[in-house]
Amino acid sequence: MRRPLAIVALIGALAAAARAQSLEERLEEKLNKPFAKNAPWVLDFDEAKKQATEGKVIFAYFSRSYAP
Amino acid sequence: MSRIEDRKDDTLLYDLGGSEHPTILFLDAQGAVLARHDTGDCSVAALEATGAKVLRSLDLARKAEGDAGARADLAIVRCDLGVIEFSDLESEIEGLPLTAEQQKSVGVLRADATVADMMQVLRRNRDDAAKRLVAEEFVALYRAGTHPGRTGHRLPYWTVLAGQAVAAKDAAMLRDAIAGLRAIHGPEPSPRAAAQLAEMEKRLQEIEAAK
Repeated sequence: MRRPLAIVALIGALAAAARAQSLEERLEEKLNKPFAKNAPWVLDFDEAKKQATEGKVIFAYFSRSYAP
Repeated sequence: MSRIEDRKDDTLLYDLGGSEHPTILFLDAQGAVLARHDTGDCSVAALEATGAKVLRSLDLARKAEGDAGARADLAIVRCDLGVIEFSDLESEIEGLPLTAEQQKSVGVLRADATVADMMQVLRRNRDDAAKRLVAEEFVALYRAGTHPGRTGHRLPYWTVLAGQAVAAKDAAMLRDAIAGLRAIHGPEPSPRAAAQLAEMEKRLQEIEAAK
């Protein structure tokens, strides 16, 4: 795709069975995965909309700790 | 507790009509949904294909006023992208002259809508009557030659048809179902899928040998 994408990642919901790790640790672990770390994801929807100026499209990815 | 409390945008997925994880959406600068990506296939090629359709839908939206062909194409691509329901597509193309290609696309989307409806039936009720209804609908689609396009629909569609084909000893339908499933699983199917495909191949050979 040629046009630039403003990107937003919204990784809010996390797994229920957080025994060894806290929910915050699971979020941090997800954000440190290569797919999340190697791209300029925006974690705030309002900020993503602000960056999605004319001609840009927001790519929104919703995940949780145990989902792909 | 299954989520971190009081995070900003915590309900955004649900506000945008999503419920599953992962969900992948393309949105415009106002936050309106331009596409719901079929997460049955999250390969780079599939994501790029959705992105290309999004850009096409934006171009078509600019051309649609006063151009019946573009209006039909726009409705078709928006339905394909999960932005409008099939019933909305039917309303929008009513009375418009459709090309053969557009009619074919509408047929695939009709099949997708039927499979989606049948999956809802099975979510509500998995008794024999529900399974029979789903099988009959899928066989009717198959006989009409219109198969669903979305990956998330093709898997249950061809799986059910494979079961029907084995029961009816229908070699042609089983061969098509195996081909449909091989196209979904690709050259390196998971061990479970490979085992299921091998079993289907064995059944196909038995049916063909019995003729």
